[in-house]
Parts: sequence; structure tokens; C-alpha cells
Amino acid sequence: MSYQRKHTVQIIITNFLALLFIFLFSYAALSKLISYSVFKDQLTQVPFLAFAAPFLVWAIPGVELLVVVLLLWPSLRRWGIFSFLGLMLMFTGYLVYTVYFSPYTPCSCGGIISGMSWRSHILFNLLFILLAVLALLLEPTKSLEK
Amino acid sequence: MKTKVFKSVLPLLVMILAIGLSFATQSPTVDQLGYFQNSLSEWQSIVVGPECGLTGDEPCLYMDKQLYTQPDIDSPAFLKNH
Repeated sequence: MSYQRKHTVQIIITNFLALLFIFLFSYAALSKLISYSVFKDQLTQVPFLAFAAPFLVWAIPGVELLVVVLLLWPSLRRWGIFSFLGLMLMFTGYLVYTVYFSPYTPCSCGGIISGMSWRSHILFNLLFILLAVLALLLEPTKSLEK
Repeated sequence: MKTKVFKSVLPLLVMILAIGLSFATQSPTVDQLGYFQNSLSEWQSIVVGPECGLTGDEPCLYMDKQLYTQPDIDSPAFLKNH
């Protein structure tokens, strides 16, 4: 495969992955905002998050939408992918804590994702973490893009 | 032109699609409350996830306490499937 062709394939894959991340976070943020009261109650039930629940109920969807904005902006996309990866790692850490260490497992995910079991959700997140790493590896640097 | 569509318009369309889908797939179910007795034998309530209902093969617990549908030990207990 020629260098130019390889570069084009890289761009297509990263653009596709960015679209996937935009879709996932837009959907997740809006689902949380639509079911605001349920999401707040569920955050209140997590022992180490309860004190910050009134703040987190807005901050979590807010940060997710901010990541979407970063992903939408081509020059900020790399930062968007980094932020996406960071949030997914934090969320997966929370899921692992909830499944293996928490005395109670509330369902805090909206829409279609709420149909998943907690363990499937961890696998789902791990897949997206791998995709984010792949996107970072394939994302063309500025010098290559010119 | 093609690049512009791919980089600007398509991500916006995907975002709008996700927003629309989040409204479309929102469950119309009402929050259900579960009740448990704390260490002082007082009744406390919490929101119960959709995995808990009136049928199942294991109890729905919160802090190792059985959840009930009413603040009454004789009311039906919440159960879930393994």
C-alpha cells in the first residue's frame, strides 16, 4: 500500500471512530438530562458520590457534551479523543467498583444501554477504550495532514 | 467540498441523530421506590432499578437489607433474576 493510500485509510478510520464517539456521548448526555431525577437519585445512592450528586447530575452530561464539541471541531479532535478516553476510563473504574465492591448496584444508564447487564457494560466500555486508543494511534499529526 | 461535508456536516448530523434517538428510546416507566429498614429499624426509601420486580429467584438488597414495595415488612419483597 502506498504511503498516500495508507494515510487516506487512516483518515477515514479516525473520522469514522470520531463519529462513533460523538454519537455515543451525545446519546449518553441527552439520556441523562431527559431522565434527570432518576439519574440524580441513582447518584445519591452511590456512597462516595452522594455528597456531590447535585453537582454531578449536571457536570457529567455537561462534560460529555463538551467532549462532543471537541470532537466536532477538527483542529481540537485529538484533545476530544483524549478526553473521551479519560472519561471512559473513569466510568469503567466506577463500573468495576460498583460491580465488585459496592453493596448496591443502581442502574444509572439511560436508553438502550440500560438493557445491558453491568458486566456487559464493562465489556462495552473496554471496547470503546480500545477504539479510542486506536483513534489516537491513527489520528494523523498536523505535519502529515498538510 | 466532499472533505468539508465529511469533516463538518456529517458529525453534526450524527449528533442530531443521537439526540433524536435518546428521546425516542427513553423509557416511559415511572421510578419505583423500594423500602428497607436501617440499623435503627427506621424505614428508608431508595429508587429501585428496573432489574428488581415482584418475580425472580434472588432478593433485591440494599446494604444487605431486603427491599420491600411498601414501608411494611409484610408487603411484597423486591426480587430479581440471577
